[in-house]
Formats: sequence, C-alpha cells, structure tokens
Amino acid sequence: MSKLSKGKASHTFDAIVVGSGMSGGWAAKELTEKGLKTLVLERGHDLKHIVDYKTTNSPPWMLNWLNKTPLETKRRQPKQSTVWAASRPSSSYLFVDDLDHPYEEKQRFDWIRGYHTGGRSVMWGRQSYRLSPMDFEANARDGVGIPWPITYDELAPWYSYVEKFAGISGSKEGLPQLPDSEFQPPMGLTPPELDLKAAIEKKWPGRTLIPGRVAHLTAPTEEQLALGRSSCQYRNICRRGCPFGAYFSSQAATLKAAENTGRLTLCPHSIVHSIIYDDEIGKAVGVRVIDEVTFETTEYFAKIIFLNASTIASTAILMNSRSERFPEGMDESGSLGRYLMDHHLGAGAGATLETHQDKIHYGRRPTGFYIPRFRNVTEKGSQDYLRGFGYQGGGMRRGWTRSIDGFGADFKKELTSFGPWSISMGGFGETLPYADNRITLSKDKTDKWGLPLVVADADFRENEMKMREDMASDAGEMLESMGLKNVGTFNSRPWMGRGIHEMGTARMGSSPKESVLNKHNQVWGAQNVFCTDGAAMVSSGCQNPSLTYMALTARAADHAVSELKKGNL
Amino acid sequence: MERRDLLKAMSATLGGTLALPDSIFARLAEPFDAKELTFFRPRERAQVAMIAEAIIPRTDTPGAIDAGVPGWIEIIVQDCLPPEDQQVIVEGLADLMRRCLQEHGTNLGELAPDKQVAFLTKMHEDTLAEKREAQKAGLNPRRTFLEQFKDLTKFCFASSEVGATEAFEFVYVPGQWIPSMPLKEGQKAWAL
Repeated sequence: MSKLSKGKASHTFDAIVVGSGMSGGWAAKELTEKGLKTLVLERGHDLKHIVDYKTTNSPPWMLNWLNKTPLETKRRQPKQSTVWAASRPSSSYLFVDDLDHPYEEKQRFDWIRGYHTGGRSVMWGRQSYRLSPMDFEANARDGVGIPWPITYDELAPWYSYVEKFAGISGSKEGLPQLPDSEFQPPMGLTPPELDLKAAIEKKWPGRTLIPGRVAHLTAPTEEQLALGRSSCQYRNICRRGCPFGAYFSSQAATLKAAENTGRLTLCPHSIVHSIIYDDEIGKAVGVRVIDEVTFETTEYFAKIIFLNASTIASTAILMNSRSERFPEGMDESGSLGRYLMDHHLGAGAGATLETHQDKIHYGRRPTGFYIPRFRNVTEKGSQDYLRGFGYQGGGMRRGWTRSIDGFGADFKKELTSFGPWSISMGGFGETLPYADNRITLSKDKTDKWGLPLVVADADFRENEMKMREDMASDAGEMLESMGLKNVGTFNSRPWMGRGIHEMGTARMGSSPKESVLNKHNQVWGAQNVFCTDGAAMVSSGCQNPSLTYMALTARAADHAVSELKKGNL
Repeated sequence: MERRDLLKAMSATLGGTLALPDSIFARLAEPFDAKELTFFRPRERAQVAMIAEAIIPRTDTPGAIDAGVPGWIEIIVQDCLPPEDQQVIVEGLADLMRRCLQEHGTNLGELAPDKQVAFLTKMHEDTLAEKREAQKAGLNPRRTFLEQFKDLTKFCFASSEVGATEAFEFVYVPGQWIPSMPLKEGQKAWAL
C-alpha cells in the first residue's frame, strides 16, 4: 500500500503545510519566501485560479436552472445547501458533498466546507476586521476561558504585514474597539446608509457606521498587480471565484506568491491521516497521507509542519495523531477539542424607505456597512451579559425580487422600474469559550477513507441568548432613529456552525497544562508542529476572523524559520 | 360545466389561437446537469405559456413567451420543486382552466388583456382566501398556485437573456461603484 518504496528523499521537504485555504496559503507563502522547500497538502482537488471558476462569467441565463437550487443538490448537500451561496448552481460545486463527507451531531452543527485548492478562501465573505486590544484582554478581564498569551501590540505589525499584501478596502476611523487596517480606498455609503450614520451618531455618542472593510483591491499595489490581480469590478458574484483576482484568495495571492519562489510543491487529493511523532527525539517527523482517489497511503517528512486544515479538521488530525508520548492525540492539557466557538447570526432589523426615490446606485458593491461593537464598550448591555456584537448591513434600492401586486402590463411596468430603498442589518455576536462545546472523534464510525468521524456537540448559551435580544432591538431602534416607521426586527434560532466562523478547539495559552498551543502556535511537546488556523483562537471576538488567522500564520511562520535557523526545531 | 364541455374547451386551448413557437420549450442555454424535460404534457405546456404571458405580456418590451419563460418554468418545476409544490402547479393549471371556463366559457388566452388581469386578480384573491381558511382550520397549506406561478414567471423572466437585457438594464461588469446618482425619467431597473 505504501508509496514509500519511491524513496524517502523524494518525500522529504523542509516544511509541510496541511491545507491550502485562508491560513495554509499564508504558511506556504511565508515559508517558501524564507527559503524553505515546502509541500502543501490539499485534501480535495486542485481548483486552478480563473480557469476552474466555471461559472464566473456566466450571466443568469447560462447558469443551470437559472441558478435555482435543484432537488438533487438538497439531497447530496443537505447541510451545505442550507447556506444560500452554497445551494446555488453558480457555486454549489465549490462546497462539499455531505454524503461523501459525513460527521455526527450530538447537537445540530452546520459544518460548511470546501475541499479544493484555496479551501474557503475562494467562497469567503471577505469581511476583514482586526481584533482589538480589548478583545485580547477580554478573557483575562472577565475570568472566562484562559487569557490570550499574546497582546494586540504583538500581533499589530503582523496585521499590517498581511493587510498590505492581501489588500483591504476600508476607511480610517480611529476606533479603539476596531483598530484601523492598512487600507485601500473604501467603497462608499449609499444615501440611506449615510442617513442612518448621521442619525445614530447624533442619538448615541459612541455608536457609528462605517463602510464594510473587505479584502478587495480598490487601488492595487505594484506587488498585487505583479501577481496578476486587479481592481474590483463590482459584479458581486465573488463566490464563483474572481477572474480579476480582485478579492483575496489563496489562488489569487498567497499560493501564487509561493509558486513564484520555485519552492512550492502542491499535492492535491492528499488527506492527512495523522502527524508522525518520534518519541525518542520528541518531535514530529512527518505526516501520514491517504490519497483521496486511490486510497493509497503515503508518508511525507519535514522539519516543520504547519496545520492549516481548518478549525475542526486540524483538531481532528491532532486527535488522530497518537504516539507513546501522546496516547490520546497531541495534547496533554485535556483542552483539545474543547472551547469550540462560532459567531451567532440571525438577529437584526430591516425597513423600507420613502425617501431618496430620485437616486439610484450604480454597480454591485461586494460589501455593505458595518456598525462596530458598542455594547459593553461605550454602553452596558441592557441585560447582564459579557462581550458584544457588530452589525453588517446594507441600504440598497430594491429590484425585481421585491413583492409586487397585480398581473399584466401594469405589473410588468412596476417590475421593471426601480423599487424603493430598503435598509437592513444583522448582528455578528461573540460566543464565549465553553469547555463543553466540543468536538470528539467517533469511536466506531469512519468515513470512506477510514478516518474516524468528527462528532460535534455544541450550542449557544445564556450569554449569547441575552445578547441577541439587544442585537435585534438595538437594530430596530437605530432604524427608527432615522425616522422609519415600518421597522421589522428578527431574532431566529441560531445554530452553531452557521456563522461559518467555527474556531477554538486547540487553543493557544501560556501553559501546557491548559492549552494545546503556545504563544507562537507551536504544539506543546511537539514544537515543530504549528497550528495557525481558527483552532488556535482563545476567544472569538465579534469580528470576522480570517484576517486574524492570516496575521497569526505570518507571525508563526516567521518564528518557525527563525527557530529553525537557530537549530531549535 | 359538464365534463363534455370542459374537454371541448381544453381541445380548443390546444389548437387555440395562441400560436406557440416550438422554440419556447427548447432550453435557451445548455444547463449542463439538467435532466430531459418531460414534466408537462402538451396541453399543460400551452397553459403555462398562456398564463405566463398573461402575467408578463409583450408590451413595448418583450413578454414572457418572447423571453422563453415557459420552458424555464418547466425546467425549474421539474428539477427544483419538491413533489408537494409540483402537485400545486399541476393541479393549479387544471383549476385555473376550470375557473376560467366557468366564468368566461373559454380559456385564459382567448380573453382580452384587461379581462385576463381581472380574472387572475380574482383567482389570486379567492385562492388566498381559501388558503387562509385552511390555515384557520389548522392545516399547513402550500403557497397557492398563483403565488408560486407568478414568482416563477417573474424570476424566469428577469433571469432570461431577453428579459434581463431588453426589459431591464443589464450591466454585467459595472467596473465601478457609485453609491448615489440621479434616477433618470423612465429609467429601467437593474437586471442584477
């Protein structure tokens, strides 16, 4: 079965990166640029930049079923297709087949995944926000979970570093709870958004509304142009892959840069089974891999290993990596798999406007507005809860999707005319780390590659549920503050996983007694193994997390290479 | 109405005055994974076209038939609708025909435009009232035939090449974002 007969030398690299998505692409870029011969293992197929984005230039009438979801998609992808973008023929092929990739749920958990080069960096929402000093201090201050082992100031230069390369569109605001990034020009606010901004700033000092910060190029740098990337064209069909490379993805940016070094080997269809740990030297020496297509097993070897398989998958690999030293997986603290977090969504408000009927917008902006957190920053929560939430929303003119009365010529005339402006927003709430929100590996069920199934067992708690009441009512009050009468609020049952911001389960910390990773994302007891995806998170903040994974990865890669040069790894 | 009269009216529909080019049932694009179209019987296809055209008629811009909406509706009903809603569509087509015959002694396609609108408006109100009664009785009715069919017609029309580019303003690659600009008199809404 093993392909080891080909010789160990051909399977030996300086570094192995498990996963090619948001953080794996960064590990590949940083390690190759620092001179390391790097193998990137991708469990899915190779999705090539531009040429494999098969729907990216299709107008609606060239999409299967005019982009309606067929029953077959709901049957094969019952989990994925609960998310709008994942259900549509224009991009459903970028999300996993749930029947081929099962997992178990003790409580409902929606695990939304994409198995191909670039992972979810191809389909992500692209919203990019820094965590703040307040977020890094939160656990220590509140006595919740464990303190972050790093400060905001330690990560800030790495945020700047990744932002300059990735390209983030946004406005400088000087907000302590939402530090500014290195920005390219923001995408402007529409008339109702400007009205809302004025109304809430007048009524609530400490609240504000800003253009959504997105990883889209609006004024590309020489470096970005040289990679073949160009400015956003405002089509807003980003989840099909961007032929302009305008938004940040592994393919468009980090993997391209890694490839340019000549030191990248990308190996698709390579499912990592476990990390090979040498008990005698106390280090990892490589990984065991199962070929997705042929089911053959292989081993690859390297001095350092970066785990960037995504939160749950990286933790599952650590759990499945058993040795004399680590009989229960690579953890001695008991925290591996625990403290699973996500952002809770689905509470907010919306309304229709009667004003600005003489104005329209042109183009399709791939973002909206953002209202930074104010609860437990400048204003206490209306009930006793910790942390808070930010809002994402938009104020746009309604099109033909709105409900219109009647039939015949009059109906058609109304249908083909502009509808009123409408404005809506939904909160993204922080979730506390709870020990009992966890994943484990099934003891008796495996997938078709023989890997134990992930078992998810997590739900939101009282703190999140109290917060949601403010998420809905604050949104309603803010819309009413701009004089709107027909405001409707919503607060639906949130499900873990649906934020698609799953994080935690292999947290960083200051001591091997209570964490899986140290302050440089090294596995305690296997210091040449780094995990820099969402698994490492100690608290969730309420900000979209990808930018933080990028910064953590670049920082850890820098540390890894510096330690390697010193002979410490 | 007697069964015999109903059958007579149906055959009148099939050979009726509304000429339907074969091309409207062909797929305008090549949906690469869709199954063969076998959902509607010929009589139902003719009805689908009539009703869609009554909802979005040809005016100074193309109508539902010009835009290939009937064929698209069949593709979506066949492959995307759950069986419960497929049943609503099939039964709704027959129900609409029955109501039209009862009220006007002929089929929808034979009526003048204003009569078509009045008929659809009344049927829409009547069936919504029936749905509310069912809800009051503790049942969980599906969306009515006309609720579903109107949405399908609207969606297929706005998503079709003819509809999107001729009845709406279609800008596929805007190239820029302008958050506010003046609306011109009579300007068509964005297709996307």
